[in-house]
Amino acid sequence: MKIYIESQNKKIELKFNGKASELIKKLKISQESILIIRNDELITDDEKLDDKDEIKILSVVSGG
Amino acid sequence: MNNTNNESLKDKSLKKKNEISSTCSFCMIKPIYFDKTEKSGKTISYCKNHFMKNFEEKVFQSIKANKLIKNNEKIVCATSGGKDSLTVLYLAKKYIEENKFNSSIEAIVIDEGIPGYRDKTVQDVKNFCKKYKIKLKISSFKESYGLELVKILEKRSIKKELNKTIKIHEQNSEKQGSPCTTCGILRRDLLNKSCIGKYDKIITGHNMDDEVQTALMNMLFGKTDLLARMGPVTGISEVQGFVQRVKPLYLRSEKEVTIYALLKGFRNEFTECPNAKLSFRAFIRDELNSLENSREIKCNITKALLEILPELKKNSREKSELNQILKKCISCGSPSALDECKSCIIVKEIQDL
Repeated sequence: MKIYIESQNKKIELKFNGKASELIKKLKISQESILIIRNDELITDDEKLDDKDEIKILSVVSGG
Repeated sequence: MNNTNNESLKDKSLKKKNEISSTCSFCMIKPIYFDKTEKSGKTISYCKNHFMKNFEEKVFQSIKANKLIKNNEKIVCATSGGKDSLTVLYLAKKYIEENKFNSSIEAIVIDEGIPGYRDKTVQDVKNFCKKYKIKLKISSFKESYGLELVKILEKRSIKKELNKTIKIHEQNSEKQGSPCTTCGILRRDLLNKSCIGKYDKIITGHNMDDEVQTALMNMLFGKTDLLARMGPVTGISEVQGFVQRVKPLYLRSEKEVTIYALLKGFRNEFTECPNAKLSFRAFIRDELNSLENSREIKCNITKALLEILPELKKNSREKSELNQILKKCISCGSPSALDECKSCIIVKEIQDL
């Protein structure tokens, strides 16, 4: 699974199959501060992800 | 009678589906957002279209209930180019148009000159205003104070070191704190000075998360006078010399605003002020977001604040009238609690060097 974490400007790859909420927990990111985009579509955190998905984790927090 | 029974079966079936959250509460389309903070305790699911529609309705309700935008008003939106201010600018314009108000809406950007950040966001505002045909004014630190923020901060650091060396204690000298302290004082002053006499109201894009962070910070530092000035309408009363500020996104969470901005195409590339990480606010924000049930906690804090605000404002008004707390700055004439306002103190400080 390819994952881009916007707030850190970081791209990572890891093996993952499971719910989006579980991925966020695994990455130790606060659910309240992000939005999850799967293959260019906004999804809710109960969605089941596939290892082939491309995930973007967008930051919700204000810039300053 | 049969029709009523059939409809109620359909409703029950839809309700059951919504409990599993596989479809929008209003149609059969896949949801993109769940709201678990409704008073009923039910989780409401929203697809893209129903989310946008509901978001707009709720913002318009806040505007109407708090009289944030009225007919025959000249309104300006303090716009940073971020998702909050572009959202509130778009919705303020839409509200005026839908209500057929004889009111005007313009935008203003305060440009501190922060390199690699502000230049990008100013361009975002220019593009947005061009697209939606909104008149834009840019007020810069460079033009108004002679220097950009970085240079002002450098000079203040030099002054602080000089004062330590020659052991001068300046009366009313401002504690410098993080860069955000200096930036905030000058931005608010420049915003007010750029708008006084030209507009009836300033709209800002502050959302519920911003307000909760501010409330906590004010409580942690025992600043009940600042707490009293909070709410969808800022301040304790109308003060000559200050343009009233209002916050239509007051009850909307940062997450909701981000989703709306994303769906409408207002959300530009992620940018964060390079000084933001140094701020105490960022610490409070991250701590709040790390709590379980963070969203519910923020809603509860907002609700509690709104309940006590009328009394806080009343007490603050009485105290202010009794002690004649507000004077006029001897340098610029702006309302000030001190003989000289904080921004004039800073300007004099850096001019001496």
